[in-house]
Amino acid sequence: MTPWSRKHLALLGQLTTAQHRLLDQSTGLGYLWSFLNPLLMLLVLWAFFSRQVGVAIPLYPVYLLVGLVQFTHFSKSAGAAMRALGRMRSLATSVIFPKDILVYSALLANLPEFLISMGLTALVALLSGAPLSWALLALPLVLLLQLLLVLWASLLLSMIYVFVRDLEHLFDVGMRILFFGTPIIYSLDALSPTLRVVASLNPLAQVIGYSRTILLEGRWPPVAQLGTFLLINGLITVAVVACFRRAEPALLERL
Amino acid sequence: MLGDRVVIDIRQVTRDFRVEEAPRTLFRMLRESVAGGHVGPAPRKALRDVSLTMSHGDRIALVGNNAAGKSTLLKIVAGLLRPTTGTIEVRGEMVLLTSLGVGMIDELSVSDNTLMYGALYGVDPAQMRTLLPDVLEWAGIPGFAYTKLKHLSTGTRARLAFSVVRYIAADIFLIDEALAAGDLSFQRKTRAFFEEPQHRDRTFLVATHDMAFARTFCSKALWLDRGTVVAFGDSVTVVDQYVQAQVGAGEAAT
Repeated sequence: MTPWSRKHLALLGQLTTAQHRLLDQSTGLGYLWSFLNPLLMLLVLWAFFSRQVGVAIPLYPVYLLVGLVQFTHFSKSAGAAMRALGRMRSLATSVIFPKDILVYSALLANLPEFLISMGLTALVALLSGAPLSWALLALPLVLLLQLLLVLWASLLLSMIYVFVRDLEHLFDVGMRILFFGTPIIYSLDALSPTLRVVASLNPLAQVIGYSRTILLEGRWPPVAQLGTFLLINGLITVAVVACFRRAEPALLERL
Repeated sequence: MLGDRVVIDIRQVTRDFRVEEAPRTLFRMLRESVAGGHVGPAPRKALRDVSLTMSHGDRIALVGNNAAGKSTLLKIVAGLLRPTTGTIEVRGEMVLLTSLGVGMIDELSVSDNTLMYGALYGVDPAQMRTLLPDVLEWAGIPGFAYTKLKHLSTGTRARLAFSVVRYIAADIFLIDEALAAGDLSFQRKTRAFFEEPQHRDRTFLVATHDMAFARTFCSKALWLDRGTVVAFGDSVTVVDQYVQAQVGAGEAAT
């Protein structure tokens, strides 16, 4: 196991820059696709659901947009990070450096688009008549929570992916289930009390819920609850990173 | 505990590899977990009871036919593979050079690839940015900084990668035939690398099929055959023994 040093931070920066340059570079609209993707999805979903599901939800298009941007970031980042070790196998198995750097760089490469998309979503919310309030100051904490969530989930998935390549297909199915299992199109209020409890156990649903509270209602999310979730996810992240570092030799053997 | 000048201590290292007779599927993994272990033929021994101690500044050649275990030994020292039994202790910063240009990306520019390749081996990107004109000049491609890597020939990519390698400041170099690529002028340039003053007090463990290089550059050689140490000692003596054995084997076959 290789300990981290300043050189590894420099390597993380270079790998992130390289992967970021590769993202969407062959497309005409490049960077814009990261926001256009959820926006186009929003138009499709809005056309189908606005009259049934969305009628009871104020500012439904923005409600949809918040959920879509956060879900898209989660699935895109986790998917890229999960495949990082396999995609860069020759690098991982022939150069000495901590291999979790490959997972972090895949996540960081997707970060600028996510932050820009969330910024644009906040702007769209304000232009659509959502109240502007000091609660917006809590948004970075919510985004941090999302990043911790995607970080530990990605590290776990990347480890399992090395041993079970079937995860490639299971991931796509899992993301579809997560999409419909998370209140992106619908509201938690539309669910039965039992399903509401089940849905509230989904951490992504919590994160999206906090963002909507801030951006659509101009209210502070429950601060104590948000702090607890941050602490829990921080501890899970530390544990999963330690687990990855311990498993690294076994991962390299199997790659 | 390593002695004062000892930087690598390999003790009785054995390494087994599984022989896979069928693709690894989820079903097979489940079957193995129920059976309580690997289902299939006995593992192949890539290394058997190999021991080697290297002191600071040693230059040791690993010689032997293909599948002798040279690359496996280097990867075990590098920490990229685990020994099945035995122990490895290493003191100092080390790099493993397997093939030149590993990790470079076709769709990125020469400049981006140079920074990333340097960072992989611990060269600071800010330092590499200032060295870029020299790196390109040495590789014979001045003015190509913004050209995509995919437009360079295989040989030119190897030259570019090696041009970066010259700036690696590690204590221990583990080299696996990485410097054998390229034309004669490139090979002359790579030889010069080992003679540079800043590399004279570095430690080198080099797997090679270049016997002239092993004799002249390395003071000692370790001859491996199917994972077993056949001989270890003065490089000229061991390389001669190895070459004679190969000539003998060739005559016996004809």
